[in-house]
Amino acid sequence: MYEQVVAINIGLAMLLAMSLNIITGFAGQPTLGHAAFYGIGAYTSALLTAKAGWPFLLALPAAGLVAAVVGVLLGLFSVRVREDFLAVTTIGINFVVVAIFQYVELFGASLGLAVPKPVLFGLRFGNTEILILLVILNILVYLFIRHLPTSWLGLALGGVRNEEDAAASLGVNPDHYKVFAFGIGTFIAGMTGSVYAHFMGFISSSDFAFPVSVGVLSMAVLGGLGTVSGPLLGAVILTLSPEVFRFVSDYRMLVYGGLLVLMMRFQPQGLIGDDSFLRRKWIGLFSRGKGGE
Amino acid sequence: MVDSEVLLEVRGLKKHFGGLKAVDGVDLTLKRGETLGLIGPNGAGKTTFFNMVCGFYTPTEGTIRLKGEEIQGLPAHAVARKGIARTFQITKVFKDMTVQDNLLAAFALKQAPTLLSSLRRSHTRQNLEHVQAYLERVDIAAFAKVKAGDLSLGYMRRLEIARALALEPVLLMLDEPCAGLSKDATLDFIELVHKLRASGTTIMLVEHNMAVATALCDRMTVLSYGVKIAEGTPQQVQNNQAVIDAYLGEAEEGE
Repeated sequence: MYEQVVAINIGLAMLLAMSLNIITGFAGQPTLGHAAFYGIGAYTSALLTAKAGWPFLLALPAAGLVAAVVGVLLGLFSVRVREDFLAVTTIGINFVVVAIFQYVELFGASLGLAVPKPVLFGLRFGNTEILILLVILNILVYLFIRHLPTSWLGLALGGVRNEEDAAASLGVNPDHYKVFAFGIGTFIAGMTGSVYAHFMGFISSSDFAFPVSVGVLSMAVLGGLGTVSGPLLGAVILTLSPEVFRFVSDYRMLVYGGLLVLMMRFQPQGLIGDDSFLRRKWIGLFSRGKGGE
Repeated sequence: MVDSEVLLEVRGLKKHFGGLKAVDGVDLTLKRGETLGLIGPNGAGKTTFFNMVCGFYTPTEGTIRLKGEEIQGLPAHAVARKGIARTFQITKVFKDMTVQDNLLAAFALKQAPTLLSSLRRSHTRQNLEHVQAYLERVDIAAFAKVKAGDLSLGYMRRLEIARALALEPVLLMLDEPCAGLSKDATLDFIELVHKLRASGTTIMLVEHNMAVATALCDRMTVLSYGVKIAEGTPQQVQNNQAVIDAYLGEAEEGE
């Protein structure tokens, strides 16, 4: 059973890292408050199933939608603030959302919320069923992200990420695409939150605090922002390492912080990004053509 | 009143930044198939004027008509959709994307005009062949798979022009296209613009260098301190006393 729990944690982390990658990696909008949307999804799903009696299968997409609505609002805001200001703003949003969970009666305040285990066709969801669901969600999200680089959306986001003015000169409305990326990324985070809530059976505000956002960002950065599978690798490494190495779990924030600094300094493209040392080893003898006169 | 030969008609265009009158009441008419040079000394308001036509600045006053339709004040992406393509004085290619993807991004204007349609696949075989044709037109087809950020400045400019052409614009606007280019690259570039002119593309370009502008343009409009001081063929402009005072005299002293 321990292996199953670890696998579930990895599945959740992979979804979060992939969804953050859409916003920060592909669209280039730094966000340090991703856990807020994870939490919004979790609380939405918990309330809908426990208080309104919705079936889990409806609460799951509803959690995604509610998170996406808030995500789109943040996206609309992000159009006005850029780069580091946006990063700071998203940190603020994370704290505000956690405070609301912690102090508002509806969300169980400091007591947290109990979440019923989902029942599907008379089958009560245990860890195995949660794991199967996570595998399905991961495959769907992965297929979407793998499609991105060869889609018009991926090209438009690439334009916005690189040179907003030039993207606009091609008829791309940068604001629309930023907000769209926020919507998609936070939708996935919200659904992930729903799965988390029903897996845990109990949620409280600290599950979605700022350090969780930093953890998710660290995963995406470690594997490679803007790469298709980098965030998956980052999620696996950073979820497993506390299980394997005691000190990682004791000094989690120190490890995340240190990793972020080291990656930015030495491998900003991530472990499997273009021209990373792993990729160079992999490509090995093949020489690359360079442009220029 | 709309003359079908007239593509762009600018009337009384002004841009004031606080007390600074960067552009102060400029009229300009551009005919189909024409290559017009917007020239003038540094700080004359050329780039400000250019950016208003492209939708990057909102004019303080005045009208800009494209094919008779008023477009002043529209945001840049909307102006692009009306058929005006531009390049930038400091090239703005998408550096971490391949040359091919940079160009393909321009096709979205026609093929994926809405957010939902942007979810479709862009890298179809037909599109990629099309991309290759555009890259060949500016002689950078060999670099299709290279990251745009790894190109030399001259090739980045070619990519930018190819990307603008891929929008199939009715008007191509080039902002100091030869700034920072070596002599050879400048000559190559002049040849490229001649090819475009021959194919009937309407071009407006901002140029600081009088020799380059003379080589490229059918007609020139000279700005100085935000107002138009002369207009005409390169020969007429070069012999205009106001232009010589404002610009050429200064340039000769410099050399």
